[in-house]
Amino acid sequence: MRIEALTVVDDNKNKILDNINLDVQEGSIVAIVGESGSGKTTLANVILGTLPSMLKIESGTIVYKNHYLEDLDNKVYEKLYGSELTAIFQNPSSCLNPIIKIGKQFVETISSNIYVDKTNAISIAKKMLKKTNLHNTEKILDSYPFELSRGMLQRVNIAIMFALNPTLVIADEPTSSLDVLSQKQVLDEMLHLSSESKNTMIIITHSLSVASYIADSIVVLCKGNIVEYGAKNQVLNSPQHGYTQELLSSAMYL
Amino acid sequence: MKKLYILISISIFLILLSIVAPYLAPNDPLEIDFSRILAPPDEIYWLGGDHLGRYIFSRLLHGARATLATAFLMIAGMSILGIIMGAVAGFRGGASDTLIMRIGDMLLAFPEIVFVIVVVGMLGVGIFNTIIALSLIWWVKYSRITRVLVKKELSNNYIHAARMSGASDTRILIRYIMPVLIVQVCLNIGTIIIALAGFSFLGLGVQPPAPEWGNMLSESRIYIQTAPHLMIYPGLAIFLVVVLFNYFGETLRDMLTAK
Repeated sequence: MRIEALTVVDDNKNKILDNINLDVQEGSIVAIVGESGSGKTTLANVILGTLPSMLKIESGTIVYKNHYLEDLDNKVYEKLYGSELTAIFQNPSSCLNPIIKIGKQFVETISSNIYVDKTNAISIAKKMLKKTNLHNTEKILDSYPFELSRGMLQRVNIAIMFALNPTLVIADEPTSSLDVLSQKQVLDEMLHLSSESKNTMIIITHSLSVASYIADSIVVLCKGNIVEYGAKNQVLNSPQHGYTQELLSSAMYL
Repeated sequence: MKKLYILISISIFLILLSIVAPYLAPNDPLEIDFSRILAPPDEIYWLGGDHLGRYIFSRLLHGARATLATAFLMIAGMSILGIIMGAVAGFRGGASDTLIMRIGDMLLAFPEIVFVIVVVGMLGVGIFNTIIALSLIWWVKYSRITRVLVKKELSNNYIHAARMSGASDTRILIRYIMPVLIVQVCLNIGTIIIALAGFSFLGLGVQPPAPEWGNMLSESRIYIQTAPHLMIYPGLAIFLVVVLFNYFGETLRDMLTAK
C-alpha cells in the first residue's frame, strides 16, 4: 500500500494531515505513533474510507493493490470490507451487538463473507478462538458480549476479523482501553495471527511501548506531518527528530 | 420458538378459514329475511340476524376474506413503500433524505380523507383504489420510523465494526431495522382494519351489500342500544385478529432480537 502526498483539510481549511508519503510493504506491521490530535485516526479513516463529512481530501492518492482508494465509491469499498480490508477498534465492548450472542455474530460474519454453511462456520470460529488463546470456546460462543472481560472481547474481535483472512488490517488503538496484562495478550495474538496469515497490519497507537513490541517499522506523526519513518530499531535507538526524542523520553519503560 | 409456531398455525388456520368460508357458511350472507330482522342469537341462527334480517354468522365468515385480504394488501403496500423510502433516506442522507422527507411532510399536511376522496375520484370507486390512495399517504409513517432507526443504528459502534467486517446496507437493514418494523407492521393491522371500515362507511371501501367486518360494524352502529349483538360479533372478530397479530409481532421481535 502506498500513500502519496496526501493532504486532508477540515471545513476551515486547517490541514489535519499535511503531505503524507508512506510506503507500506506487503506483509509488514507498521505502527503509527503520535500524540492526541496528531492525525493518527484521520489517517486510519482515510484508508478505511470512513472520513467524517467535515474533513476532505485536498490532494494526494492512496494506492492499495491496484485500487485508488480516494476515488472509490461506497459500492467498491463495501466489497473490500471484510475480504480485503478490515479494522479493529479501540473499545471492544462497543464493537459487538450487545443483545446478540457472540457465537451468532461470529457465525454470521463468517458465513456472509466466506460462504460456508453453519457447522463449518462454527468450527472456523472455534479454531480462531483457540488461536487467540481462548480455549473455553463453547462457553464464549454462548455468551453475550457483556459477560466477557474487555481483554477477552478484544481477542474475540481479533478472532472474528482474522477469520475473514483480510489482506490489510487497520487497528485503531487496539490496546488502549485494556489493562497491562490484557494488552500484552492481545498484542501477542495479533502478532501470532498476522505472522500466520501474512497480512499487512497498520497499528495506530499513542504508546511507543506497544509500537516497539509489535511493529516492524514505526511512523511518528506530529501535527499532521510525518516527522520520522523507519525500521523499529532505527527509530527507537537513534531518533532523528526532536519530537521523537521527546516522545521517547516521556515513555517511562520500553 | 414453540409459541411462535402456535401463533403461526393459528394465523394460517384463520387465513384458510377465510378462504374456505363460502363452503362453511350455513346460509347465504346476502339473503334478506324480514322475519329475522334484529333477531337475537338462537340455536339455528347462531349469532342472530342483522338490521335487514341477514345471518350474522354467515356474513362474518364471508367477510373474513375481504377484511383480511384488504388489510394485508394495504399493510404490504404501505410498509414496502415506506421502508424503501425510509432506508434510502437514512442510508444515503443528504439531498435524497431531504427530498423524501419533504415529500412526506407535504403528504402529511393533507387531510387523509380529502386525499383519498380525490385519488378515488380520479381512479374510480372501489376498495383497491382506496388501498392505493391510502398507501400513497400512509407510507410516510413507516419511512419516518425506518429513517430514524437507520440513523440511530448507524451511529452505533458495532454497526461500524459490522461494516468493516463486510456487512452490506441490506444486511444491516434486515438484521437491525426489520425486527422493530415487523412489530410496528403487526401492531398496525388492527388500526388498518378499523380505518378501512371507516372508508367503507363513506362508500369508498368494500361496497355494500358485500359483507366486510368494518362495514358490518358501521352499518349496525345505530342499533347499539336495541340490538347490541349486531356490533359485538364483528367487533369481537376484529378484536381477536388484532390481538393475534399484536402477539404475533411481539413474539417475532423477541425471537429476532434477543437471541
